[in-house]
Amino acid sequence: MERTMSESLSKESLIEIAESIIELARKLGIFLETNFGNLTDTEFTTLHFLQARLASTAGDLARQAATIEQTGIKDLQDQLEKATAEALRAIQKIEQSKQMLTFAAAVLDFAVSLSMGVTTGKWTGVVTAGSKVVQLAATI
Amino acid sequence: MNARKKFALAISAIPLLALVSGCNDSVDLQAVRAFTAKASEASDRFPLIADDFYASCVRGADYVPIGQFSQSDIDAAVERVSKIPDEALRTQLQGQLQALKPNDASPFAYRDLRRQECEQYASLGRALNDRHQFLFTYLKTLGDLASDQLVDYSAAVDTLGGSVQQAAVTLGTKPADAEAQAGIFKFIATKIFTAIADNYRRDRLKEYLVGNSGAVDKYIQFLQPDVVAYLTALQSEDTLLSSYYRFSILSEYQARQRQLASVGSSQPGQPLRISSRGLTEPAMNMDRRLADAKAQLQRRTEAGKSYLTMLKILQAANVEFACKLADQPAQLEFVERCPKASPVVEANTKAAAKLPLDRTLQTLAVKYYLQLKPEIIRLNNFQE
Repeated sequence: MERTMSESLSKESLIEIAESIIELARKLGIFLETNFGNLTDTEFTTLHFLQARLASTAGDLARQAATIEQTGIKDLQDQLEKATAEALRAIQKIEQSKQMLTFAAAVLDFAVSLSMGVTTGKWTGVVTAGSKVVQLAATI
Repeated sequence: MNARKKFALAISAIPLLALVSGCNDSVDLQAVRAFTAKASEASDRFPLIADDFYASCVRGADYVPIGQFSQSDIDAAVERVSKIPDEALRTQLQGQLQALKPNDASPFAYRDLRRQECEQYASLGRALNDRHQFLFTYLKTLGDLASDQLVDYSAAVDTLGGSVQQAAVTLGTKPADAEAQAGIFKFIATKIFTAIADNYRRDRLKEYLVGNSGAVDKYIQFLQPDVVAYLTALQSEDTLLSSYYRFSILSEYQARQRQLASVGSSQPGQPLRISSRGLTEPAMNMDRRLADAKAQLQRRTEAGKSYLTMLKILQAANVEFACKLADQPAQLEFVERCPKASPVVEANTKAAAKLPLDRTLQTLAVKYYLQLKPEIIRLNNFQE
């Protein structure tokens, strides 16, 4: 088994980002409960799945953090933390289910690319996905 | 510290004080033995935490909702599975994914896949345990040195070496703390003690605690993210668990409301079968299962937190022992973290007057024993 990680992200910051993604999943859960009666079955099911995928991916990140080598903290950490912070700020403001669907999907894409980056050491995908989260958050 | 806490601490210290005052053996060395023995109790509990890393993944997968499996899910799964290091597992899951079609997939397909992906973490517990047992072996060697047994560190060196090599092999990484481990090895490997007067033991303990302190500090620092990662994995499980049950309860509640509204409109007078909590019987059952699962998760979380606190206490103990025992600042890698009144920092001040070696060992060992005790009790609440 070989795990690699670029010099771009520390074990601790990876765990912190995983915690933020779990927080996002929780906020999405609150949105679902609050809007339970107003969502169509399709909207509810899709958002519920997105929530489970976000939480599962965050769990993957945490387990990956336990298997990787601790590395130095470089510029990428700031970008990733900004993306998660913006996502947390924005998700609390969302009131429309369509907006939530788009945004939660973008956050999930970000989380999945981050998990990929940890195993491959290639960060292009996560930087792109993170930028998209920040862009979307700016419109909310 | 409030009066109740002080009283509780005083009560809990009675067995230790009785121990250190009632025997012919040197009280300071007995206190050191009691401290290292208390810390070492955690070594029996950590395997449960380490194994729960994998178990938590499986439990979380079981709370993934059943239903649709989209093409984007398959694409993401293909990418995810392609990075699984275990070749046999990777090949097996790739075969399953090739046969999977979004519209034909079982509603359980996504959940089953997530469950099988957890297998990549099946050996993680053992690797983490090996890494953490290194610390406990070190503590045991300290306890042995404070005992009246002959101490041969060659056995300890074999154990420590085996632990680290096994952890490195299973985790597939070169340990990031290799330098710290090498420092501990080197120090232990050069110490084969057979002599055994108490003064000799104290001098060796001092040498050991000061000489190893930098490496031990780095090593304990290195272990802590493992536990934080475990606690985060439990948070993920908690979110999945809550979501699964709460939405099941909501769905049941809504369906029942619709049914009752329908019955109510056609058959006036039909009694409402809803509990005082506003839940139907099936929803009440789910609510109880949610509460039970949450309570178990809470116990695991508390145990993980106590283990993390225990590591922080051991780290603080390592620093304070070294700061109080070192003769020269140059002996310490973290002299800037020493308390200002430490003899090694303020050698000329009265406040920093150096206590005799036996008093220092005894005072610190009792202090940290008392800090460790409640954490070990909480850690013992961990349930398999």
